Amino acid sequence: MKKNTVLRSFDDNTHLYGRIWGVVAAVLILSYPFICMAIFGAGIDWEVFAKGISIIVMYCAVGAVETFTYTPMLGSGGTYLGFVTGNLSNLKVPCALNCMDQAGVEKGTEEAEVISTIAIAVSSIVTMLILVLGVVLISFLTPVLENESLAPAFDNVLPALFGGMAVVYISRNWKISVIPCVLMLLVFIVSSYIVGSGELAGTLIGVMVPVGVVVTLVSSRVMYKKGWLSERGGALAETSAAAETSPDQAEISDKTERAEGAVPVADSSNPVSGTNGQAEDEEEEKK
Amino acid sequence: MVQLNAAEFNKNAPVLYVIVSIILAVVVAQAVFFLVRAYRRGVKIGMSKAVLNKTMLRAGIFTIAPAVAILVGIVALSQKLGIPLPWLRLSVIGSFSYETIAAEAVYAGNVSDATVYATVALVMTCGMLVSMFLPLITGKKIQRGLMRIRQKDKKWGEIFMNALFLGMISAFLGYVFGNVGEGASGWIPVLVFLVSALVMALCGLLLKVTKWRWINDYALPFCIIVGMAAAVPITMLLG
Repeated sequence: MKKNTVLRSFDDNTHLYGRIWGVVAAVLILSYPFICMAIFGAGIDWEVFAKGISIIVMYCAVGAVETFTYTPMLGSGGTYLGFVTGNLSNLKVPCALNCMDQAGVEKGTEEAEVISTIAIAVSSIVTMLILVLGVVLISFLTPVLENESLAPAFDNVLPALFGGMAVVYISRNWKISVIPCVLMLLVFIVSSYIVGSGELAGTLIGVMVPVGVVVTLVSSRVMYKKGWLSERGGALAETSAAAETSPDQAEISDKTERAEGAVPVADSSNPVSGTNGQAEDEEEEKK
Repeated sequence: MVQLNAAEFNKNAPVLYVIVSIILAVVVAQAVFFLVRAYRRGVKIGMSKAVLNKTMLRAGIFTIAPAVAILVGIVALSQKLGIPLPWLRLSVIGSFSYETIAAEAVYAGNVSDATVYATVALVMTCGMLVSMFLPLITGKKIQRGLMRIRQKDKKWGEIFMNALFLGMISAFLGYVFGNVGEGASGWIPVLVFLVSALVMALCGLLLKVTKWRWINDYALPFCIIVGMAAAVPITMLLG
């Protein structure tokens, strides 16, 4: 048999390993209900299941939208890991974004891919540890965690998280932020007054994240074409702003020359396949 | 055969803890695998180990407050479903909002029957089918597409990436205002958001004045904790 001489790059291997781990994890996660059925000699109550079909369909649609929305933000490794460990919008995506920003790396680059993957991996491990600890100590923690006076704190994680983030990212990219922010405020405020409660907001957010992304992309593209984004306050200001404030930027820039030399883009049809010596990658992967 | 040897149903049965532990161990192994791989890759392409180590520290600190909130979700669902199922569902792909909606939609009240328990677990799991498999199919194509955008026009590539994140942030900015129609209590998330934003602005100011770079590392986790803590008195006033 002819030996396959085409060596896989690091990026190719990321996708390969990501898919393998993803399938293994998905099969295990899916097996839980069936294992329970086997252990307890139970079946499926189709009447009960039918009540959940609309919910399943809705969340499958949300899952599809989330895939196309979050995959570009998380990078290859981050995507495969993030979609297995979950809690994307309330933890993994903000965590990856914060770490990329703090490290002063340019989003979409290989450095950003490394930082994003590390951030999501560590976040997943720490979450697991906290949950394990919580489950072990649940009888002690339940009175504290279910304490009514503390409930507002746990109900408001998202506003607390996005308040801090919004200041940083909107101030740095105010030009491309104006249109989506105004639109989203209008949508949520008007819908809230129409319904008279916040019940709709929880459902709307699943739809509005991709809508916000599309609106921001389209409006940014228009502004970019018109030449409005080259000054400070446009999206490109972020890179320089991050360089000014990021504590890690100096450390990274020390290595930049070496890194740039090490990551040539050799094949335009396969943008990452030419990275840093495929043979070396292959050898390292084998190790 | 299985029917004959079926165990008596208990939603907190030790065997369920064992199964969940095995599944979560595999997920942790995946996280460790990607962590080690990314770290080695970072070193290989010339990134400083100090930067990579700091990233790990930052990610760990950042995670604490949101992870405790997820733990609260497990506690909340444990009355109805026991501990193992919410522990699994909130540790792997899923979210508190979906799991709660799914569990409530299919069965009101506490689950005490094996068939209902397994069916609820199945509904909770099936809702995540697309999230589990679609990234495996489309992940490579999407990433390659992004790389092509960057190669074609680097400047637009940068704007594109920032626009993605800002689209998400703008949606959550709107979401925070999504309760204002219900009266004074609807403004609680808005005020929490503003407190967190104010703390971040103060951190930025402090950083500028003092040049203490470590502030950067802890600013966002600090904002989250202060914002969450502020929610308690704000709720007392407006709730």
